[in-house]
Amino acid sequence: MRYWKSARRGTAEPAGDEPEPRARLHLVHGETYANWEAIYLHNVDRIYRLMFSKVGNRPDAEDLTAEVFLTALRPLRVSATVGEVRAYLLATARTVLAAHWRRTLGREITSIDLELLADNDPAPGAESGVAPGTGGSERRAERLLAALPERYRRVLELRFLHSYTIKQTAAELGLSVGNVKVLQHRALRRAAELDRDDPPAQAPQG
Amino acid sequence: MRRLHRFVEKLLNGGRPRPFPADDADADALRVAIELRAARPGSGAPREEFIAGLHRRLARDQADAAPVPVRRRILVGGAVGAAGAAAGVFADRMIVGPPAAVPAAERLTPDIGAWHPVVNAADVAEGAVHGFSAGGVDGFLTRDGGRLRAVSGTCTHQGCRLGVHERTKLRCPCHGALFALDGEVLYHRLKAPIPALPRLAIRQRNGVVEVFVPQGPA
Repeated sequence: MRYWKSARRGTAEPAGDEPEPRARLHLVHGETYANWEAIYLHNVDRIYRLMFSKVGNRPDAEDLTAEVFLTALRPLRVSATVGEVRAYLLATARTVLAAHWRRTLGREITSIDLELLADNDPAPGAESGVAPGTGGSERRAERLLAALPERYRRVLELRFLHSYTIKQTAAELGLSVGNVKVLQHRALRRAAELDRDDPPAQAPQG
Repeated sequence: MRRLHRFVEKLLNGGRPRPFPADDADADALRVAIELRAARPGSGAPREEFIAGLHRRLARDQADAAPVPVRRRILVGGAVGAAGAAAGVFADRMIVGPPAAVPAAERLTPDIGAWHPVVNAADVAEGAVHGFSAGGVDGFLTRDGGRLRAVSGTCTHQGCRLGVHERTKLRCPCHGALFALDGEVLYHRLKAPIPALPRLAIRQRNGVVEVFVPQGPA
């Protein structure tokens, strides 16, 4: 764990050329970053997407992402390799997320599985635009919805995937607002039961 | 159920959910709700403002943490700075860093610097203090006795971003140094004296105040 050591910021390699937009950075595991800004710009999108997939809302995802970088960047040696930096950021993200749930709901709702991430995302700097561990989330959501009875599936689709308000959903389904609330609540509970039988860490079946 | 419902509604409309003591069944339902919400098309990407804002915050944090003297740090910063144009890039630029969304090279003319519009001159009343960030440089624009003046908004000690204090002073959040609006040091509790804030060149064009941000050796 060399990169845990609080090292003085030494003379790093010069950046060399023009700063590139984040999407165009190409880095592989063995390489190192030019400076902390390169570390930040190369990883912020990934960490944010990961956090968003774990908390489902922007304010918390932004706060937690900021916490990860504020915690992680100071003790990071610039000479740590890309792979080391990523592993360290992910480990920090896992700790930060766990603390967030302890603080807010008193129990761990979601967690970051480092091994699963390593399996799912072998190439850092890949241009996929998909955060580690979130690549399968849409497919998982689809699978989950498909397993639900029609009415439950519809209400969750409209509200979660298509951003319908309760009123719009009520109009679409021909229900009262109160009925939509109850239906949505039951649908979530039912989906949660299905989800328990098919935990995220498990490999997709079929 | 009500608090669970409220939490889920916050997730759905993009707000910050309020904490509540969740039981096992709540936790399961929330896990699914988060999963479904995260699957909404196009919602997982960070805002550019957020990326740029955190970038600035980290730059200040890094500046605070650096144990090396400021002069040397600027040079080191110059060597490894994101602009890569290396040594001698204007000091404030290095500490603040260019906004992530707009690479510096696209904004500034190399070697010469550029005038950046800041605010309408009419909007700066007598005695007003207008904070701005232009071309990667933070500063404060003031009007005193009718004359406009701009000073750097970055502390000369370790590069923290200054804030307005009691409407007539600039205060450093890191070590409490106080500057007058003309850049003079009013107070500090540091071992060695710190220089006054650099003045920034400004001009008025078509009623708009512009600030000059040098790109070459300042």
